[in-house]
Amino acid sequence: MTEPTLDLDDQDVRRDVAARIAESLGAAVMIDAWTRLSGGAIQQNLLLDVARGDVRERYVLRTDARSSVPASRTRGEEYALLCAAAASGVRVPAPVCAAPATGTRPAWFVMRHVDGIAAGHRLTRPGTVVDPDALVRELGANLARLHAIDASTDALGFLGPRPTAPTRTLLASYRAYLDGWRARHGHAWPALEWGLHWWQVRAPADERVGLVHRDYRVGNLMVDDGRLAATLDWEFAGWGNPLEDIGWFFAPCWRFAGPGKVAGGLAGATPFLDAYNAVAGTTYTEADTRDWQALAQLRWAIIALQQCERHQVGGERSLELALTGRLLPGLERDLLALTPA
Amino acid sequence: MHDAPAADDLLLTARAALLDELLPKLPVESHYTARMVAHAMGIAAREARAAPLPDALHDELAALAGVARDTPASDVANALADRLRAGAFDADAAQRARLHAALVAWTATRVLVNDARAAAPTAPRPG
Repeated sequence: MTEPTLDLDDQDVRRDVAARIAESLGAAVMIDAWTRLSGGAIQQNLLLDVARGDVRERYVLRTDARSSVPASRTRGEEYALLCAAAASGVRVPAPVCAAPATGTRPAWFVMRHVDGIAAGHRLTRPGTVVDPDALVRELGANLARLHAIDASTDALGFLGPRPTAPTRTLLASYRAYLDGWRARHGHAWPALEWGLHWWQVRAPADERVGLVHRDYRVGNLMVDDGRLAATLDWEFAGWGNPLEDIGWFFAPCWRFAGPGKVAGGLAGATPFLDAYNAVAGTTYTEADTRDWQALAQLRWAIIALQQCERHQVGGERSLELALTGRLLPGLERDLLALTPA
Repeated sequence: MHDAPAADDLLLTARAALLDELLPKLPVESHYTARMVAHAMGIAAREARAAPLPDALHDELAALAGVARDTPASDVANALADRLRAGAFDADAAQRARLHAALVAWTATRVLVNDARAAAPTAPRPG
């Protein structure tokens, strides 16, 4: 899907961005520099150096890149989610202002720049984080506050009505995708089918449902000096079972350089869950998360196959996408280990 | 007969040249791509030298799938998927354990090719 892109050389665009920031701050601002940050295929990020009187500040502008993925949230929706998260005490880059899409310009929004490291391999290397237990306690409490966001407000109306069995819906989508793969490539993925069936006979008809982030993991959490600075990448947020986020955070596929450390490759499960439970009023144990870690392995395997197809047949020839397809055996191994006979 | 050196030797020798000679001369912003190239060459080399699936494991998977031993691997995979979805293993714990063990063994052979950390050292094989 090709969308109009934001022309940053257009002086009208620059004036509009500056005016909206100024209106939000209640002060005149000058944008001194616009620097492209490494963005994804879906979003484009720009660093804005802003002068407010004598004060120099940094902001990030997010807009859509040329190709967008239909399943991901729009910039306007992402901005609404950031506002709701900030209001609930979730650590996020403070939202500043937003503009809706027009016929010729995509939607964009501006948030405060946050310093820190998000790179998973660096953060999970021993010694990078001085007190990993303290960090995962923050991450657990932060996720509990995220799960407490009231997602039934008008501002988040784009999420649709609260479903009763979102996990069953996810499983149905994975099954449909695996059917499509088999139709296109001529073969099934038996270990993924094992994991899918294992879950299908266990999936609840009624479950705890709230707003879930769906990509809450090391790599999407900005850490500064060993402390959580911001929760990033809200584009997959939606209704779901909160255990899905905990399983995703714990799953072997997101432990990077710390494969033996359940809490994101950083620390054990206990400090994370103790902090989560204290805020959420739940009594989750590591054992409660194992099924959901398995579901995370299955989901990442499906996404990896989708990435692989973007390379193989989607017209996006890319070494990174191609290699993602080769993650499958490792993802299947850990899925099987989490779903014993 | 095959021309020499074999494909895996060529790939691993080229990979060593990339990592040992070229990578130190590349700007830091290109290191990630260079390492991805090396990773891809390592996978391709291991796949080129990998032994075929052991007959005993193929036969076990075919038996669990309820198809003949000479059925191609992709058809075995499809039959296994169909039987799983139909619940063919739900009531029989012993058969379920057999299937799980066979899937674990099958996956392990593929992990050896695809995961550099699990694989043997990627030095060129002599000869």
